[in-house]
Amino acid sequence: MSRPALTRWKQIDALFDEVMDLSPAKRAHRLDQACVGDPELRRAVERRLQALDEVEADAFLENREEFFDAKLPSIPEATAEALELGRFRILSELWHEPDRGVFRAHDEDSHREVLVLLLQGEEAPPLKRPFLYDVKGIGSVQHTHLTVHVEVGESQGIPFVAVEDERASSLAQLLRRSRGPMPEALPDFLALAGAVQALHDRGIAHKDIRPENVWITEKGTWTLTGVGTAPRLARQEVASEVIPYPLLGYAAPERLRGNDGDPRADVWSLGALLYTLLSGSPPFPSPTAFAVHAIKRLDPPPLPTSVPASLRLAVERALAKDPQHRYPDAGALADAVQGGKKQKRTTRPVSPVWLLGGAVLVVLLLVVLWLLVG
Amino acid sequence: MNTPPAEITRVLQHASDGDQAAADQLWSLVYSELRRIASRELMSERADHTFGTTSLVHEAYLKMVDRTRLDWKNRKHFYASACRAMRQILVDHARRRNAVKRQTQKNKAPLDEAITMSVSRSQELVELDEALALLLEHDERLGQLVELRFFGGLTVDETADLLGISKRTAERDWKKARAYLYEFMQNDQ
Repeated sequence: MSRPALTRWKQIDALFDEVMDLSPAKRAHRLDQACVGDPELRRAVERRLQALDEVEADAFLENREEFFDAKLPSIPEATAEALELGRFRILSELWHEPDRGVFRAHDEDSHREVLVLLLQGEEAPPLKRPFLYDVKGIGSVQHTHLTVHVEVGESQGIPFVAVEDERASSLAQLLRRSRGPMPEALPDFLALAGAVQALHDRGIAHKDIRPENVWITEKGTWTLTGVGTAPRLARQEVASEVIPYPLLGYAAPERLRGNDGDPRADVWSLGALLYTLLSGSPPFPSPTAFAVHAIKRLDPPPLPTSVPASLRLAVERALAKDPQHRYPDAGALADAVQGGKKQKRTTRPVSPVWLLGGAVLVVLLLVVLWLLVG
Repeated sequence: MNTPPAEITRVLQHASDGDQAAADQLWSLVYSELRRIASRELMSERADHTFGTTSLVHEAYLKMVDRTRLDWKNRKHFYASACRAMRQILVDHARRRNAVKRQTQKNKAPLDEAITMSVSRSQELVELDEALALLLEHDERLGQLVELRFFGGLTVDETADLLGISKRTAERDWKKARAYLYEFMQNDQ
């Protein structure tokens, strides 16, 4: 076999690389120019071009089974399959974020495919309890526009949640395709806000509302998933303002300061989502430290004047930096979006659970005061 | 081999941080574990002399890695090492098959047609491995791409993600690499 010297190889390689995507006529023309006085170079490049054509025609190396006499799973498949979480057998990984992976899995009980999210990585162990607490809370609420939790649990030390897989696409994909405002999606947005209100009615905050977590079923229904329940920010992430990308853009300013967030943080996220639907791009689009700065301190560009004033005001109030200046919950925001038809709901009483929490806090303070005085 | 998962996690972490010595150590740990399991599988005298790759990688992975602490960054390095280790094991296996074939021909024993077929592929696999070694010498990224896609079975997306290149580049490189290998293998005949 002729094995060209390294310098010659590089020469052949560079020319081959230059012409491989060209049409046959353009290839020949370029070779005429480049190989003047060097017919051997031309022959070498033409040999490789011929090999390229034959490779495509023969699907060379495309069918691994032909070589191995047996079905050979891919390394990631085999690795993923090594994971069995209770009754769920992991089939393949769908996507991953810094501290979590989302997998396609087979449910041995129902013989159906489900989606499983599990925590993993160095940061996982301390996140375990808050994660399970959050997903159990979300999973306890049933609503047409919330995904159904099949199981929340822990297996071999790995916390996981399994949900029914109804997604045909996601809002993130829809936004990428539309590349412009989507005012026609307002009814879907309101349906989503209804699902978030169902959580708020139970005193639960979702904490991770963003386009990736809004799944769209085959019938076109928008469903909010709890699969992406937000990671809690580590102290160093808050201090350095280097926030994991998936969170940026839709997480309220107080979340970026390391606070856990309550329903009003969800109102901010819904406001950001509404802004995106009305203007065609997120209020703080750049996934950089500057975006963190902007979300905390700056106002987004004003919405187009074609957007009705009542909607612009609703978005503005939802995106207030101070949670106290926002709508108290998703239902109040939804009412404002509907044009104040049910204006009285914007002054809706605080959910009994939050009221109870406040009362407990007051009693505790009184006890502490009494102890101090005593 | 009985390397505790904590040790593997440490090596994976160092390899992910760009430590070349750790990456080499990782490959050697993964390879020896896979080889140990593969030879035990082959010892069990399966009629077809093939082994279940799924169980092979499962077992190695389960033994070696603390799954509760494995994130994507670490897993990428595990994949890269496992793909190279798979290549080594499959090619070693093919070489042994070829040796059996030569021995059988020498003794003029009749060859079963099915075995002949698989042996001819074994020969192709060995040739591919030689061409790949040459490609790795000249262009490491293209060579690694072949290890990941062909021996590891990674998709274009997974390969692009692992090598830190765009999907489009990964697709173009895959075509390019196959053209090189095809040419080498044709010239060798």
